[in-house]
Amino acid sequence: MKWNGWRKHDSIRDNLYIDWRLSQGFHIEEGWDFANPFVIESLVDTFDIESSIAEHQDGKKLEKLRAIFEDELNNGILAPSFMRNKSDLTSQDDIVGRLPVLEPDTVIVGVIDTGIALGHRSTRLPDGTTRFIASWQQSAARSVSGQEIPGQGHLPVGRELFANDINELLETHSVGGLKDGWLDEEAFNRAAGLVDFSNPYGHRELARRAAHGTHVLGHAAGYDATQDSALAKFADKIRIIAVNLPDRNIVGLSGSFLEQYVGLAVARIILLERLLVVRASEDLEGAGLDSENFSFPLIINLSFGKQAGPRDGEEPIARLISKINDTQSIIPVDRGGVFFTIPAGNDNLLQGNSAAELVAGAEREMKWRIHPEDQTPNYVEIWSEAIEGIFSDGEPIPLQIAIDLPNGVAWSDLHKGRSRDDTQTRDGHIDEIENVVRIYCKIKSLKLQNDSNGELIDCFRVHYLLCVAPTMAQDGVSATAPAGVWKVKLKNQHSGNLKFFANVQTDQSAVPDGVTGLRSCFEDEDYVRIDETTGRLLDTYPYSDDEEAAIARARFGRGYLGHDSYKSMVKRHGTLNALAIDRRYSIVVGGYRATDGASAIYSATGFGDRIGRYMGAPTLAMVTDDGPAYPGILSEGARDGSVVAMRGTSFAAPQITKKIAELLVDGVTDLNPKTWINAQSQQTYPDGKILANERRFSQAIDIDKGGRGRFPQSNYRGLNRLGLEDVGD
Amino acid sequence: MLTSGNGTGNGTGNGTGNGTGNGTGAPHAGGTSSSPLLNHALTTTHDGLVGYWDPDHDLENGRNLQPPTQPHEYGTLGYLTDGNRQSIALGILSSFFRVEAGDSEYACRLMVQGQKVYHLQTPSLTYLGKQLIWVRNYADLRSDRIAEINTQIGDIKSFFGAIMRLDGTQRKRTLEFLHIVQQLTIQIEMQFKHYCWCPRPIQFSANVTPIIQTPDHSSFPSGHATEAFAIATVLDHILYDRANSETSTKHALKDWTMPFRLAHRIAVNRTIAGVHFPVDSAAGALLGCAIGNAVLGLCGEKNVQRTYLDMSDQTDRDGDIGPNKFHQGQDFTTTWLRKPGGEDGNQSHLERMDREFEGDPFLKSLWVRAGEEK
Repeated sequence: MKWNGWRKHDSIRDNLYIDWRLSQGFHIEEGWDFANPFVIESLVDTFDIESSIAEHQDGKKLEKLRAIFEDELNNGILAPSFMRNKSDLTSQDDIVGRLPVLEPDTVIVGVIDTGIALGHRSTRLPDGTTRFIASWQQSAARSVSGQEIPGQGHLPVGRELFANDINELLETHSVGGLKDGWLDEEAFNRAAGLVDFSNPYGHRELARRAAHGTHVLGHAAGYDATQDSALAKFADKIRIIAVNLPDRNIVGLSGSFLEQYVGLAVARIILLERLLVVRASEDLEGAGLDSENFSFPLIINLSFGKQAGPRDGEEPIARLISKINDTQSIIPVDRGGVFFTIPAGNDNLLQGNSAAELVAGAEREMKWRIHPEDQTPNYVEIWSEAIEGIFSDGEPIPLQIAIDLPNGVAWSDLHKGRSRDDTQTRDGHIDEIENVVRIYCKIKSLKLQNDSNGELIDCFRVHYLLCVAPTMAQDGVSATAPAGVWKVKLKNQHSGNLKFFANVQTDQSAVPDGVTGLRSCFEDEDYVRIDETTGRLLDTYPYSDDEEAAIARARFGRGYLGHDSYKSMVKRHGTLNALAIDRRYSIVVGGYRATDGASAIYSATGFGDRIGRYMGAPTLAMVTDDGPAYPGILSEGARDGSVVAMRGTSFAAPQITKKIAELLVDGVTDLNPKTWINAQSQQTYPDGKILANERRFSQAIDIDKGGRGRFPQSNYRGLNRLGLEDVGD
Repeated sequence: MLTSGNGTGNGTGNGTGNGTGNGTGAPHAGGTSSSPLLNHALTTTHDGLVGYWDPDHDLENGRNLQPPTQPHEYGTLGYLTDGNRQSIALGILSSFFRVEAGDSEYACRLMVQGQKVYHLQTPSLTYLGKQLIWVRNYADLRSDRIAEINTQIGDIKSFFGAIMRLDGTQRKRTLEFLHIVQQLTIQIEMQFKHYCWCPRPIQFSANVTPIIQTPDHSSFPSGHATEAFAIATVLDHILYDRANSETSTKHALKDWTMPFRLAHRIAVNRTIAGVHFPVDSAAGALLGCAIGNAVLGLCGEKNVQRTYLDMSDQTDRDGDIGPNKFHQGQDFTTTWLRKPGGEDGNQSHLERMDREFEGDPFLKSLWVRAGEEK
């Protein structure tokens, strides 16, 4: 077992994870097509500002978006054969007639998730018809009993149902009528392509007790208008566009294929909003509105994330969101706009985040622990901070790397020249022990704005991706990597100080609740994990009247790190969701505990300050734990009428989604709901506390965990588990 | 199992008493039936009280003793323990059912009073191999269903007790009736399994790794499905008061009433556990409906139905395939049970018998007494 030495990798793919998996002979099943892979960059470029302005002036807003679903580009989507389109992609114009005609004052909530149920009463009107405008099941089979499902030629994969389709299915599978009947969800879910037992990678989350997307949707847009007539207004005015993402095995256990599905899902929802305006144009004109400049307000809830990435806005999904925000900040519309709600993330205490600043010539060693009997690969991304200038081919890499394996195999090239190819270029280099570990090295060029004069400055960042094979192979044949502590050494060869950021990538098991996808972590002797007197896990900051903490807070101000230590490279600070980048129209939501207002210990922490375009903190915090014994908050279970508790910031984000949608229906907020959030948080009460809700709690919540503050819990379906007094906002 | 005998007894001393009811003794005056200590004590009591006695002097006491007045009336069995009563009822009930091994037309059939109420073929190994994909795919639900799967290894009646009141006091006769039906069903299904022997999923692939132990008997048809659907058929009749009405099992399936929803879930749980193919459940479900209907007919109900399962077309077709057909690529779905002829819902796996059954007086009285528990 030995390192091969750096070599150029000329045919490197944009997505390094896919590149590595292909080098490992990755094949999930026949029919996956890697010949012409989907290019997320093309999708992101669709939202190019200049061309968007030109299209806007020509009255053809986001014309290219329409083309993206008619382009052969999408034939290159990486997907198993059962969900791929077999017929030619057809025009999006054919869709317009299949869309419902919305009232001008409708607000649209978009939910992109897994396991979103389509038959629940909370997503239906009192007459039993659906509130969904459309739902795209990305991994629904394209044919049933060998027959291609008609009317789906407008999508590269899966199956899209429109309101009428859903209503027909509801009618067919309701015993006793659409309005009052009982829905045979077993049959409905199969007929709608929501549950698929015929394909190994078919979606089955809705056959389980709890489903993530259904829980999220309950918070984001669930109104049981049949039970409570007061909710009928919101049920009527807030309509839903859903995208059911594929099963985790298709998206990739580390999210390798996530961006193509999420990118297309975001584009799909925005395009449908455009097509809905076309559909409603007659009514809009009739109401005296200019349909050319009209938009329905759209809030897209993205209750997922990634743990590792550049975190500078360059991650493709983050860039897509940023560009959409760019476009709308320049092209305002009479009404509406696109807003994103994103969870802060749940990785605060998982020790997957490491950062340090090295003085010139200094070297530090990170300990990366990979567990035995781990059947999935492990990844770490390392990024240097932005370095001013343009990287020239041939010059040494400012941040250098070396790795020692737990079994003693060392890579000692750190201080020497490269063994085979001394130069490194922006095109990418790799070094590897074949089939066991590979290091990718790429230089990422970017332009950053000078804070003082607004000029754009050329910069570059060093990017390493460490890919390590599973430590256990079920087939007994595939190469495995040794488990234990991997020593990752980093050296600053730059002339000045240099920061670097390292993150363990998302890592899931292949089967639900499985234990085979063990998540690796960083270790540091100076990282304090638990309070040794109580045995409790330590959150980022103490939440008490502790005098010592108060003194430290006063002394260090914003530099106070709480339980994180300057000495330790492993930190809670910096765990914020890698998708939480853009600060303009994105609302990033952390979690707190209803009883005492303490920050949820798992809710991720920002850096406190901006780094590049990266958000320094969540926007605000919502309740994510309100049970006296069983953690989490209540919302809908997989089956209609069932209620389950689920835990995490995934369920914080949709609460504010619903709040914003309601404010928009009531005409309370203006174009950007962040303005409303800011106004709320700046409201000072006689006792000096910001936010009415903050008055309930004795302790403040730190900004880099709770942003603008703790917003009150929406009392979903009257389920108030603690019987807490409801303090209005 | 029904609780039999009265376990705790009265007063002090006889704590454990009679466990199983039949066999060694019924509850007696003191609450206990028999124990070495009691028997020993009774020996010395006899010696102390009786001394020498001449039986001829006591013959007068026996002159007026009578057997139960109406041997065909279930109520007359009140002198027996639950277990002994059930033995008689089960014996009478099962005497009407005959399982016959078949030939090329069918592998096995169920005959009642000279009429065929159910028949099926045995799936080929190729057929079962095609079914393995469902066992693999349903395994994703294991962590979610483990509590149900564990409990249902030995107890499915408690789940029916969740959809209607089924306690041992107010629903004592109903519970007893269901118990007898389940015992009858086990007798029948075991014969079907024997004549239609098929391997279990684990015998096709070690990757199945069932989460419960695989039983020794045949995979096909599923005993859990048979029992659950037999109970559902009878319970649906009680729950929705269908006595002698046209609203039969056929309509109950179409309406997808609660007992059938539960029976379906119990059957599917066995596929999730990794011990059954969907076709096992399909065959068991229809067998259970047939047994339930035949029992109702023997209890005097009219308009009862029969069914069969046709697997002669061993292709991969799915979906709109017509009643009584089950293809090798097919899953055991609610749609297949409810609407086998497609979405119009006018077709059914069940059809009326050529002639009504002749009700048995004993079973009738058993059924009537259960029906009185409202």
